[in-house]
Amino acid sequence: MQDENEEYRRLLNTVADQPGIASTVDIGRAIAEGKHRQRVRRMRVVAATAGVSAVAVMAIPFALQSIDRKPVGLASAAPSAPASATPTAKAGFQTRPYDRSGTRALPASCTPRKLAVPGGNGIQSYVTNVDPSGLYATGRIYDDDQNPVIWRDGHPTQISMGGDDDMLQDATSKGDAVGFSYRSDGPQAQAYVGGVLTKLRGGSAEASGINERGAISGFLDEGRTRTAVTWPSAASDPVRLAVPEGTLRAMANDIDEDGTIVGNIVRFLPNNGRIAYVWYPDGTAQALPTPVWEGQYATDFDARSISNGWVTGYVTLAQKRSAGVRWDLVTGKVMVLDGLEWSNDVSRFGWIVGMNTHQDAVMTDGVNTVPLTALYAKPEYGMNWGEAISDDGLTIVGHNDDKSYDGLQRAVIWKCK
Amino acid sequence: MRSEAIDESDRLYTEYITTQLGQLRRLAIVLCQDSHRADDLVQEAITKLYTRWHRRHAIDHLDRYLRSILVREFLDSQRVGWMRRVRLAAESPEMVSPQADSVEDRMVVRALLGQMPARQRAVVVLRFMCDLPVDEVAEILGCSEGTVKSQTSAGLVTLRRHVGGVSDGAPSPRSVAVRS
Repeated sequence: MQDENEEYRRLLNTVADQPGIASTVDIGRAIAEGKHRQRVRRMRVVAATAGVSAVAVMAIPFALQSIDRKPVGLASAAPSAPASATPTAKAGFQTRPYDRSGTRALPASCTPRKLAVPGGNGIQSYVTNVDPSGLYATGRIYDDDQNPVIWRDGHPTQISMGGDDDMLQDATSKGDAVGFSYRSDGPQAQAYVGGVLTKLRGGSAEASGINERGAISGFLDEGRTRTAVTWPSAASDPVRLAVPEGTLRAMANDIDEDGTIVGNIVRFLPNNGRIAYVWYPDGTAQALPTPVWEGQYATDFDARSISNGWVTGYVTLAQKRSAGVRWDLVTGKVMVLDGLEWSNDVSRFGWIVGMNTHQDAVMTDGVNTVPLTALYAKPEYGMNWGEAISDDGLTIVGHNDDKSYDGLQRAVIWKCK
Repeated sequence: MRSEAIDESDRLYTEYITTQLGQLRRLAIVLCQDSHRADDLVQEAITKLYTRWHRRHAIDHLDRYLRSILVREFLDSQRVGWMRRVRLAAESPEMVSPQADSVEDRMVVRALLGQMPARQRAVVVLRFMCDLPVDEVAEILGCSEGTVKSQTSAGLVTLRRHVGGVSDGAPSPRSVAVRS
């Protein structure tokens, strides 16, 4: 198998070889142009500094406490809050109450079945999410047009979004959904509400999540900058989420039923690692506690999903190994799940679905683990994983690689009991 | 003294870029499908790196950082229509139908890459030309690891269908290796 991948590497490199065509790249020109841009930037900074006003201060009223590989403190708050309300550095993680009654025991087993795919058995399918009730799932199929799909109880409906790289990312229990459509002028965030597809406001953007109230999370794609936003409804203008001064880019990955949003921010210093972040409905925000893995404070960790105050995401070490993480907003505790390579979604009870270190799909509550039985024989280097879980934890969607079809990736739904 | 320090910084930059240019250009050619546009892309990427060169010690993986600048520049250029504008002036790459059975693999691969959506092409190139792990590609492109895996699988299926005599959609004992 590795030999085969080497063959594709060779083919790609062959395409790159264009003998006889001299390069016009000029390092000296890069230095000269770079110096020019630095001078222009310095002049702009001087001009801007001379004109600093109260408005500018109000726009960014908070500075993140130093992110110095120590457990996190409170970071940010509402843009409209007075400066005196800025929390002091190292104040500690601010916990929040959530209703945790009705917690159940982890299911004993989960039974898989294929999510039906239009176009036949040779078409790759990719499922991205499941609604809180477990009825609807979103994703796409890789036919000629890479069409987005909404599955209802396992049966697909293709949604034409008009781009050449389109995806639905999340759904509600009514079958509304959000996603994005890549076009020649960039990505468009789109919402599918009441059977009608509409472009969300705000220019180039992607939508990542929608809750039962119709509030949407996502980000504006502004060139090399990504800005975390929320759309209170599909008809609303995007609202930029507060970030600490010095943030290069921010992503909003998911939204809880109460409007709490999780994602990440990236600052230039001390390095380019992601810092998992949470934005609350009252406008406050803070970094999530820094995971400690194998004695090291993580420098790259991301929050991907939230449900009832449980948050899950990834931590990546410098050696590029990754593990799952679960945060509890009620207690502020962070747990590294080193039996997982990927932890993709969490139920309202804190159960996580993802992929273990053997590249098999699993669900875990942090103590016990339930295998998500494979529907197809897995090829040697195949990957099976759980992608999303319903609120009650009894419906899971994910993927199996099918050895009998050249490792074709197939979307799968598991029902657990 | 300050002037000497600046000269030393430029010297280090020049040395570093010189070692990277070959791989950068190959990466850009596969992404752009055209050597002229590839050179423009590389020129812009190394210029941007120069403007941040004084902060290089704060960057964990400089090679990765430079590649990510180049790929983001490529994706941005797709967005603003730069590629289409430049194509009017630059020599168009020779493209062939991927259905033609008699063409060389190289031409087929080039055609297939050209027909992939920009982000899928970027995924395939980053994974198989740059040997970047899944999570690193996901971070560069701002998507999930699952999406990278899915895009990689789809890209390889496309290539396999048209290269080396693998028939369209036919089951075979071979599997798709996309592990990080």
